Amino acid sequence: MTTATTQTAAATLRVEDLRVQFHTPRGVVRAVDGVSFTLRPGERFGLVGESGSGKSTIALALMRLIKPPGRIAGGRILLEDEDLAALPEDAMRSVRMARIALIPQGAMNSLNPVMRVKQQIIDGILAHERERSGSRNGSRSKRDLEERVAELLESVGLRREVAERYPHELSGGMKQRVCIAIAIALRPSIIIADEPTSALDVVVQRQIMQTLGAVQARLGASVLLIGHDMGLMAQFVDRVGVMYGGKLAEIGPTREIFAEPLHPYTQMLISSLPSFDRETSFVKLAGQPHSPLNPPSGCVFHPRCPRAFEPCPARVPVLREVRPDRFVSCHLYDGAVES
Amino acid sequence: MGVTTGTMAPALRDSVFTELRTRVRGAGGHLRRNPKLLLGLVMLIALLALGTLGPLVIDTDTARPMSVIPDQPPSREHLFGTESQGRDMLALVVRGIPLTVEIGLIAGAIGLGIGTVLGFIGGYTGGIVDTIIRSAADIMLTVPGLLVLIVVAASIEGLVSVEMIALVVASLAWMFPTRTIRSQVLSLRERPYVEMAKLNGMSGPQIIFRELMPNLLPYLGASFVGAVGSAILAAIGLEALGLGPQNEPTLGMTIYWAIFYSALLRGLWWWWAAPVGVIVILFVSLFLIAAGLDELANPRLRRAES
Amino acid sequence: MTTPLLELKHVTKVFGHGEGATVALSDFSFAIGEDAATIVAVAGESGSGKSTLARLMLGFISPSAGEVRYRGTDLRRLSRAERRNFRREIQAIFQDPFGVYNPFYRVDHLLTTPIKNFKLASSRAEARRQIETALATVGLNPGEILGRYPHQLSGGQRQRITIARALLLRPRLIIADEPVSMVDASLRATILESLLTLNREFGISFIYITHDLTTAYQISEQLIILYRGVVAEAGPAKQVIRHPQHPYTQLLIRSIPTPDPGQRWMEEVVASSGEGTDAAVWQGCPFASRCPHVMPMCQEERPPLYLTEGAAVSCYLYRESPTIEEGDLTVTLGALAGAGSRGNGSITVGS
Repeated sequence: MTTATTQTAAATLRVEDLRVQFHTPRGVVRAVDGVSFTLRPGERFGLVGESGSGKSTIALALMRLIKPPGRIAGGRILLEDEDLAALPEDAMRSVRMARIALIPQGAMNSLNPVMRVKQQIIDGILAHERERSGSRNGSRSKRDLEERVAELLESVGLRREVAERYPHELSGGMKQRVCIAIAIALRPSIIIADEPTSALDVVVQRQIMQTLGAVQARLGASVLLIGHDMGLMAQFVDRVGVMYGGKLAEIGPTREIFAEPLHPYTQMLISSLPSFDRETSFVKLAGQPHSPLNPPSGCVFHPRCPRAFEPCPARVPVLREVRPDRFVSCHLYDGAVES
Repeated sequence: MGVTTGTMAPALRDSVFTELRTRVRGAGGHLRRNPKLLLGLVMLIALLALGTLGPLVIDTDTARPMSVIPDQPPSREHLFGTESQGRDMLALVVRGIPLTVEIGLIAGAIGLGIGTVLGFIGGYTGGIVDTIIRSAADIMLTVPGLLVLIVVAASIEGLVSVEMIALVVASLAWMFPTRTIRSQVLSLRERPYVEMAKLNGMSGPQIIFRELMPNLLPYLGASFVGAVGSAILAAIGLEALGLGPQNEPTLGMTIYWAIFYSALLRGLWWWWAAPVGVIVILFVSLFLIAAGLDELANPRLRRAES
Repeated sequence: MTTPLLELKHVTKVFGHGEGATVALSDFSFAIGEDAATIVAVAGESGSGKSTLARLMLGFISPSAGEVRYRGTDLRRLSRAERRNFRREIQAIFQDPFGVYNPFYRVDHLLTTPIKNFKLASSRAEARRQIETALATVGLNPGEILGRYPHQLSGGQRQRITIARALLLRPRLIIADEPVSMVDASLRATILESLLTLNREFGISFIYITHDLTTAYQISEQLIILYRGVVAEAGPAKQVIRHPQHPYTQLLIRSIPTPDPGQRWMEEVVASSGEGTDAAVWQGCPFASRCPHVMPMCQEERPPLYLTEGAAVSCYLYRESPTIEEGDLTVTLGALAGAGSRGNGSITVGS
């Protein structure tokens, strides 16, 4: 299991103190506010959070696809010691797809409706090659490309004939597979999947996640899965980071987090998971999510936290390793820091 | 189940008028963030002030033929000069603005009124009624408008009045509003709040007037401004061809007389400059207002100001 | 037996014509009485016909065949007064807790409109008292809610206001169409709890339409699983979920990712749904093309509902069990419910 690797192992992607801000007429929204995590080689890492927690913004920030009025306001995105946050746009273009690929939220509905599947995959490949080779001529023949498309489709569990179809002729699950094929066309080492199954039924969801897992294993890539479903995280990722209010509340190995969540928010999320084994009991979280324009002082979770005490409204907690490979941002563990 | 009286909220607020009052009260803020609308309104108000307050300051009788020395360039005595029939250009413009705006308002209001009624009926009820309304609007849109107007205007016997020209223009001003409003209603009709209104026991007309119409008010406002602009343009076109009210000094008729007396060839540039300048200011202001209202109607912008 | 509150008799709904026609719901019979307040969940994937069912029951669309009856009268033949009662007694809560609000108005509008239209209050003060009581019942503080615009509230608050709205009308039955699927997990519990409060304290029955079996398990007594417009399995919710008998129900339940590390969720290989059109769907069992236990007879004729131990299942694997005839059903499922669950909902399911 990849989680056995320690923090010091060579990291594929290291995010340090990432900050993304949106400047609105009513004030600055800190959508991502000082987030740090590491995506280790070959691992499946999950970012889980509710709407407004900043998880999708992180996906866009890693791809450098934040659009005004938003901007990356600070922090580093280190891909093998190269800071993507500081990369010029044209250099970044050659990183996208080839080294980091994104399957955006709702990707399957953004396929071009008047283009055959084949052409959409080829376009992705060619656009990138033009970018990289500059003036040099396209190096591949048509037959090579079509063969590559067929391979890609088969690798995501589709028949090669699907290449000739139009998106409207495909089911939701098939379209999502096409999106995975497009994302892996250039064999990226990191695949970011933002809610890849949110519009799909549970049976299809499982098939898609199995496909994503198989593709990842074949490429030896790591996967950053972004979502809101704790159950899906439990089944798919090795480690999970829990987001709340633009910050990471907790990071740790999935099994350990589910067995013993440390942050009160994580505890609430997990105990509110419905289970067929337990009798009906509603675990409620008091209060409402705060307005992004006006976050509470100190720990952003404290107004809703059942275990809040004196330091919570006063000081912002820091994400710290309180046990081996367990990182928590909560004053309850202020004394537990390993030196 | 006791409700604590300590948390008394203000009275229930649920009427179209309350909401409109709130929006109007907030309009100052809107205007500050909407320079287009502000500038457009300032220009339009300035023009209308010239048209309505002008007669108090200057002698509009000089807009009659033979009342001043003809063909004078702008001077201190005649700020905008005079034309060949012996009329003062400033007086002509001051008299012309209200007349032209009147044609635009009448034709725009009638066109938009018909368009709103037909658009709502077609869009909300659907079925065969909708098909008839839509087809009629589509067919009429393909007819070259100016041609029809020329034929209609030319066939009017006797003297043409300002109201008549407005009606002629209005007869072809309803199709575009019908089509756009119908499509707006079609999309609004599918909103979940319309189903909710049915569950709340609302009837069809209630849903149209209380649920759909308020949301279309900014859009209707923008459409009205657009319709007035189009109507003025159509009226000026007819007038410039000599089909307007010969006895009234509308801006279009002033242009007609300038053509008639070959003002351009004779170097009487001020004869052109005054009406064209006023028309340009009028159109720019209408355009800015329509664009500003459009911004107001855009729900994305409205939500941003939570 | 008394006349049921709402009854679907052999209802079929077809959308489109000719080649492109799709059967959204096929020969569906179902009745809900009012002697005991119950919660019936209707669960299925997209395309199962569950939303069509909701819209049929609310009278938003009419069946292509069969009848939807309110207190014994076909919805299409209700008198003006009956229609009014139908509107008040059969209410709904929808999926999108933002779209149901008219953006022009404050949230007050959603609450005052039904009071006005159904003349529920004699004065403005009385209306206000009713609204405050309803909001308090669903756990909201009227002072924080009234006078606000919908975008100023959270999804959970907005959805609870729609529940308060339904409560104002004192309905007998609420069709709740995916009421929590667009609400964050941390706010879901408050909404489900409000539904239970209405059920238990006000005696309101619910049809809970969902794609999510876990919430169905949490709040419903009866559960009907739909697959491509046909009832696959029906019975007490706990029985159906803990001991699923139809192969489709079994697949559905195994597909839900749970925090249980022993689930082997990523390993089990599942046959893809027969992509595209499937000729067998409208003569045989609609699940036949994906079923691991498929037999020749499954392709030929649609299986009837068999009464197995604890549930009604439309599958030839249970052909040794007695079939359920229409008419017997109230008794049958009523008895099943009595054995397995808290309520004694009178429910009729037939196919």
